[in-house]
Amino acid sequence: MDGASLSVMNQTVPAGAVASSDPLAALLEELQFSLNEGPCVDAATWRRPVLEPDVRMLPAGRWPALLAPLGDTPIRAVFAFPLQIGEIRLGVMDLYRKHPGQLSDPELNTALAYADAATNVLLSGRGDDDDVPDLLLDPVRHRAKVHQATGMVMVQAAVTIDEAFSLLVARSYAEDRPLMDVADDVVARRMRFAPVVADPSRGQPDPGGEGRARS
Amino acid sequence: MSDERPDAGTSTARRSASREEQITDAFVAIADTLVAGFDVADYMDALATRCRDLLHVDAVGLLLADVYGRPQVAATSSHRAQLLEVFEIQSDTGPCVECLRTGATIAEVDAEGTDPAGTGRWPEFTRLRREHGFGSVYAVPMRLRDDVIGALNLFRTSPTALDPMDLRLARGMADLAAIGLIQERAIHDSRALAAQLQTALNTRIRIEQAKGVLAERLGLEMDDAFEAIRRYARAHHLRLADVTEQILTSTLQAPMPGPPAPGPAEPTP
Repeated sequence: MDGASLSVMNQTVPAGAVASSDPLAALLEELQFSLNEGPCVDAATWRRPVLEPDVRMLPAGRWPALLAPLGDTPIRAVFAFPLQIGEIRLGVMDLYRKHPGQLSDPELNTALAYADAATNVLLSGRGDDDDVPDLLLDPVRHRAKVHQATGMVMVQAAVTIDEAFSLLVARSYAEDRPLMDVADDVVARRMRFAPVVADPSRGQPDPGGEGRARS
Repeated sequence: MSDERPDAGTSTARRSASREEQITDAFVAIADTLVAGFDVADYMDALATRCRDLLHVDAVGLLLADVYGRPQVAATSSHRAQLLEVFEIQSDTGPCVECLRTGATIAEVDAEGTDPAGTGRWPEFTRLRREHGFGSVYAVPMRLRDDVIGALNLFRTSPTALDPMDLRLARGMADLAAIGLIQERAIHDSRALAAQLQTALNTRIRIEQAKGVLAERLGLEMDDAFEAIRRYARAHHLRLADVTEQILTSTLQAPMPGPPAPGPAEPTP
């Protein structure tokens, strides 16, 4: 691989690169954000990896604005991997190569594993391994109850799904209990989350807010 | 052991009358999900449900291997089955995990004395399985070329062995499941199965999240929430992924069917 970058999401739109391995990777991100098209945007929208082994062979309609400037760079192959937990879109990992060609199976597996690791880092909100909650050691994505609880908290607290997940993690930190236990309590309806007061600075209408009885 | 349905041996005559029809129906229904607007979640769900009905089993689970080769739940026909699958995954033991690892069909049948005392290969799994009222379990590999990409798991309340014909059919269904994943790849022009599987598993997570939203809004149990999603999708000719999307983005608030009342008339042929 010749370069890589990580972008984070703002709701459903990629909001900018947080890390790039080299100037070319940074340029690739920059082009995509200014033109709002490209592998990163597609991977986020479709929620699936986008694997383009040769950007110079693509039909012009694929990325009408991006392909011309991309053709002026040495970038030949681009691969984008969504960093997501179900509906929660955290970001995208972009990889590029200066020679055309598909990823081999081992390369693809490695890329997916890196995307996994990046997802965990974004989830935990920290890059060091100091005091990392259980969710890092025990991948959260495979626990149905955590996802069910996230959905429930989204309604209870009248927040977005990302925020609902953060609330669960915060509670797990605050009570120093495994996330799985907190999720268990929510699903068993032993624990509720009170509606979060809308923050006017976000300029967003409070979604829902049905005035449910709080616990 | 409860006797929820007639046992394999006792009702052969009644069954065989419509057997061919049933099998045809199942294959047509599964093929239907393969065409326009293919969605892997619908496909897995249809497959799990049809397997349950067709193979005279009481619950079905579909496991897919993730990028690390670890099993992940892709679909289950009931909450009980899901609990067992999740237990196997977490403890990394049990017939389904074994099937995925070795590619062999694995059976655990109480009446055959496979493991009467529950002290065999997976004592903890066997104990849990019995606690949940299952007398036997089969794990059939899903193969794609040389790879084992998943396992089809059949749970029965009956402690007796599966009819050999049913077991053969189960292998056919497992092959169908694998073909579905190839189809998905063809449509999206991605050569990478691993990426495909990961996407399928993420779809599964979205369904779990949507179940939570619905369970909270309507005061439903998780199983009933899933049933409501499924019923709504069928009644409105939508994919599970579409309904999930609507629930999660809150565009679907009021019109969701209420508590598990009899759903709208099913438009199925």
